Amino acid sequence: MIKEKIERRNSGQALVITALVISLLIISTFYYVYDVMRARQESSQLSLEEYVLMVKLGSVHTVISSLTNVTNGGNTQLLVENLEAWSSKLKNECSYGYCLLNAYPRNTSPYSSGFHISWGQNGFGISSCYVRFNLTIYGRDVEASLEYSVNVTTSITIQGFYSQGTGTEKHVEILCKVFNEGSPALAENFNVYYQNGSIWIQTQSYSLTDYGNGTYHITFNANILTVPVNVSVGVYDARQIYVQANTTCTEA
Amino acid sequence: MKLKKRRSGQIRILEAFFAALLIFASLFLIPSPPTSENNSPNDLYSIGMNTLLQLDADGSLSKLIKNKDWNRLRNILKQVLPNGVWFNLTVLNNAGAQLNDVLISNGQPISDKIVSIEYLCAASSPTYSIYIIYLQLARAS
Repeated sequence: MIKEKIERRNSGQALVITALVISLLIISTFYYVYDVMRARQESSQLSLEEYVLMVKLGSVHTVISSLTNVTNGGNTQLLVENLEAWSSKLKNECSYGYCLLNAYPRNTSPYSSGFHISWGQNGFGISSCYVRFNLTIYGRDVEASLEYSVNVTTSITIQGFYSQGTGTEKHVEILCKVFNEGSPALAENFNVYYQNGSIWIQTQSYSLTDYGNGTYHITFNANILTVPVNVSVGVYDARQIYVQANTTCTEA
Repeated sequence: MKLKKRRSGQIRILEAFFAALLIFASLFLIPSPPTSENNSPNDLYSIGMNTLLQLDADGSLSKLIKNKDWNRLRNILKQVLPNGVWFNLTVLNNAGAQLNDVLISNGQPISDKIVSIEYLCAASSPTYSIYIIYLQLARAS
């Protein structure tokens, strides 16, 4: 009887203690959730996604710079030097802790040391550079590894036609299409040549029609002694990459 | 005896009330979850980084630096960055020497909470160079 009384008396205290335990549980659970959310937000401060975009963009510019240089007469070795400079800078200035960028210029045919430059006789010319990258980032809260490749290609197709004028004079028309990575692209600084005997002569007096969609129409008159009429067109794209193509004109 | 029983009943009610009060009080101690406010440092970092990425996408950032066109760079940043955001841009060359001889900024910082962004910019011109860009941003608090 006495025991029952004591149990009854204590039941209220047990209720309060249980309430205290429940409230402590609620508080601790919410504090844990709050802490996790805050930690996530802090770790995103140095957004990895944006950093990777910066590295990729820099890699593209490095490849473009090397291709621009090589198509303007530079050494192909420059690609490796530029890639090493970019990789080294990333390593030294990494805001995450440790960034390692390995670059592998493509060496499988038709590429050699990362380059495929072919300014052919068949009306097609290509200046291309292909590099595969492997980026590894280690940091306090970050660990990421990804592979990506950069392919910078400028190509040109030309078709030539001519009609016989008076004497040896010929009226030449060239239809020229410029592409960047397969898509029509704008070009500038056209160099137009025709072959007279065994000598290539650059013509300055040509007229150029820009259709605004990567297609250009070039016309000029020249005294060309030899037949067939061979012409050559060299252009710089907006990235200053040079590409050239030669073709034999068909009589219109 | 009756009085004792009545009192014990009142005490039980008080205890139950106290227990309920304790649980409800714990709810008031719960912190509000962090909201993604627009003026957080993370947001400023993202704005700054995206601005530089946008400028660098077509190679215009390195061209402006190469041509030392600091006034144009300042004007572009003024246009691209949101109103009320203070900026200060410093450009260093590969060796770490400062390239900009003029201040690329839109005034004095308007807040103590300054976010600093480091950006590496590779030039796509035939003469290859890498620039280190420091962009500081602050927003009116």
